[in-house]
Amino acid sequence: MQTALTVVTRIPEGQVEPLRAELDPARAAAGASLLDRFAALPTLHFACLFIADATLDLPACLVFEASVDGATGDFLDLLLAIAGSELDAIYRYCADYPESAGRQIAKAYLLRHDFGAATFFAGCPGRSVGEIRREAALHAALQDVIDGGTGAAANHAGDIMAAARAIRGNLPGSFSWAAEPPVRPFLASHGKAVVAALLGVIVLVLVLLARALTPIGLLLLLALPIGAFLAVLRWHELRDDAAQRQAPMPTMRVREVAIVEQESRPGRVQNHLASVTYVKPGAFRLATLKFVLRSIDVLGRLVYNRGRLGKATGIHFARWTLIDDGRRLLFMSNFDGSWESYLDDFILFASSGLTAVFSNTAGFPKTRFLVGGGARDEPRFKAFAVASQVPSLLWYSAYPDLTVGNIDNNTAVREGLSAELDMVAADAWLRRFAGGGPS
Amino acid sequence: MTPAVEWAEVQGPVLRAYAHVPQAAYLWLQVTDRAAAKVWLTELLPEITTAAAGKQTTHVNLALTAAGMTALGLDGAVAASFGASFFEGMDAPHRALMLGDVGRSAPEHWAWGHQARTEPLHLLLMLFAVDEPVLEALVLRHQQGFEAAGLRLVKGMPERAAIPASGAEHFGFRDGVSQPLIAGSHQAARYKSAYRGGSIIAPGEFILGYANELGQQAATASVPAADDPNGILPALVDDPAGRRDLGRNGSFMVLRQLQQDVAGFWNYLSAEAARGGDISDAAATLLAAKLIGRWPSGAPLAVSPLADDPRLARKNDFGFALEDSAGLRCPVGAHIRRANPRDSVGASARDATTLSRHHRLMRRGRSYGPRLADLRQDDGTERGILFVALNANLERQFEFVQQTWLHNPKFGGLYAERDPFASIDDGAISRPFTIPAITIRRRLSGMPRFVTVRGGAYLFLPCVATLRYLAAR
Repeated sequence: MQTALTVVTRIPEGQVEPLRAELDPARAAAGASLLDRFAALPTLHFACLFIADATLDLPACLVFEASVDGATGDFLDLLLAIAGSELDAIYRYCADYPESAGRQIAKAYLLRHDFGAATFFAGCPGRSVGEIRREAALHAALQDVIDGGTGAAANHAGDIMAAARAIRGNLPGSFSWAAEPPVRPFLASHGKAVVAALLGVIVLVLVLLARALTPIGLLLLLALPIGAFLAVLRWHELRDDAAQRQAPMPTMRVREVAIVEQESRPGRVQNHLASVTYVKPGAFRLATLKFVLRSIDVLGRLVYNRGRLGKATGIHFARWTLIDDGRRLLFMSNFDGSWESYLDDFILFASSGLTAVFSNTAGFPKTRFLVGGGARDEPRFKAFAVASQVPSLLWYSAYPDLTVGNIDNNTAVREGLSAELDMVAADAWLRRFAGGGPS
Repeated sequence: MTPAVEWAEVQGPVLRAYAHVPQAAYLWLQVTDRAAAKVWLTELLPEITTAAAGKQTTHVNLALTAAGMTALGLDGAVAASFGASFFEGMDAPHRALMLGDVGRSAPEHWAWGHQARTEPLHLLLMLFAVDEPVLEALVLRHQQGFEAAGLRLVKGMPERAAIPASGAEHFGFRDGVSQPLIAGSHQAARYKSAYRGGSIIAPGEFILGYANELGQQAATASVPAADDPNGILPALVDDPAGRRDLGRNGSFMVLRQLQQDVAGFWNYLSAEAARGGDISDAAATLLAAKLIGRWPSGAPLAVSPLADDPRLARKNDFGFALEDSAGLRCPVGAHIRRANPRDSVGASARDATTLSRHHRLMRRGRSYGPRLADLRQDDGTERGILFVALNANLERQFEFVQQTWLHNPKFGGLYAERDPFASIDDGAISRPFTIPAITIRRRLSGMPRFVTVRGGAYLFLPCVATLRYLAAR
């Protein structure tokens, strides 16, 4: 099981810049050392520390985002044991931190400020850090087997079954664990059945209600609240449009050079995006937002649990977290490829979900009935994305060279070691050594 | 129904490849006397070839850098509003990283276009002619006027480039086969193939002021109505303040000098073919075709996997998803598959096509330098391609293709490869290239770089009205 830890702590005025300096991995500060410590944590997938700036009456906050295997408490025990002094050096800039008061008190402090996630999406559900790394080594070792004599000999034979046998037979002894097939989490393999069962229950309830209320009564029961919701929603949207009409079309979007440089280093495979947005005032917007976030969370666990959020690919972990009693919304994502391609995927293939969330925050492009327009308006949406992004001051990945596609492919390579392979399956397995899977 | 493109305003290269005028001269000019340069520009205007003009024996076109716009007197903030990439330039350090222009290809080593070190570049005068004598006469006539016009010819980039009679670039392969067709153009009307996904793309992907594939207009730059008292520029669409549109009917132009190591390319492939047990030239050619995705004639491997077929030289109505999803014919990492994945990178073939249509480039490149007589014997002379691409959004089109497709080690599910012709020099010495095959893939290794960037710039190819406005204000 993978868990989202999102520790959000207030930074008193005057402490923001010293803290920023302390986090800068380029200086020999606590941040650089913390990155090294992260690498020693066997259950940590991704971590990031960034600062949400003070705005209006909201204080500046330090956000510590981690995606971990197992419970957050267990992770914090490990973290504090390994990086206690680094955390002390960083959190002493935050309000109320009990500096040098011992691990248990520090742990209680961090847990007390953990906001978790309203929506948490995992691209490779159930895959632990250890398995992901081991399977990557397995894949590389088998590639070497193929490059050695074995593969060539197998190829020469021109026999698919013989080639698969030859590769399997030459698996180095240190990989004997791989003969055991990986365990897929229950929802990843049975999510669709659960959805079908839930739908069945809903239909049953509707039928029973229709008997009790007559079909027209049921229709009214369903239509009235939905209709009322849509009417109130539309009223809010039109009001927001009128308020935004005077805003000029963004003709230029300038991303922070430091962010672009960080993301564009040659060989950089994954990236991180942190954004801070402001929920539109009023109970209606907050309630709608909470409902949408919960819905996406459930969809992600039940339906989109095979590496894709809608049609958007290449997301390792993403989350939305509400802070400040629902006034600020944080979005954090660890994804494959460039920022430009990440946003394009959303604009082209997952705009409705994104729009349903962000249309409840200030400055988002004009939206119709919660899901229409919005993120489809490319120039304005990208301007919104640029304006809300904050630099990922300290970012860690446990496997920076692997995409979601690579991880899936490696797992499938491992599965092929123990599976019964007929000709078709053997051919498909052999193709897994030539790339060509989903990007 | 989208409004018809105002072709009489659009410069010719947006619509045409100018195959009938294979000889070209690209002259970089620096404005040293603004007033004189404006007079020169006024006189040049009637010579500018628009997309509405028919085929002639010569054509003249003009593009500007951001520095060129300000040199002609445009406010810096207005030039900046054409977009960050255009204004910062291709050589800005973070853009160079994004484009993979590092190591030997880094702007610090460029012969031109490195704004911190090399000469400022303002205007690019492009002259095209049916043959060399006509071209030289045209160049001479224009060059004679430069001094009086307050223009200085800047050296550094090869000034002559051509479409070879064979249509093949220096490695020996037909280039520029796959081109998008602009919806509503005469070429699109002639295009009969009903192939899924097609190549007919919304005008707004290449020309500012029209709807793009998302039904929206690309960002443009504008000036207040008061700055255009004679009403030369068109009005900015849907703008209550009545601003005038500088970008409409214009296109962003990417220019890069890509040096090709022809002998290095063929010697590497011969060695790899020999390592695979076949020392014939045909074996080397097959490997080369696997790297490119087309045979020397231009025939795509996805359609003709076993041998070259000149009848398919201009074949462009094909995909990968159904014919060749595993890359058994055309490897996933092959150049043409990375540069335009067609229907192959996405949740479904349909989604992949939508994605590809969003990232197309109109390519107008030509070769420079003499042909290498013996393909495996270097003669110490520089040769390559003057790469030219036109698009409406540099970030979403050119830079995206470069970063997300060509240089992406993970493209299409791969692990650690780059485009075989990528100019990126990241220090990796054994970048592999996977050739899928039955029963098991082959992996080339130790591939050197065959292409080095020697210079580059982002330009704007404005409409006639914008040029007239710049000359008059």
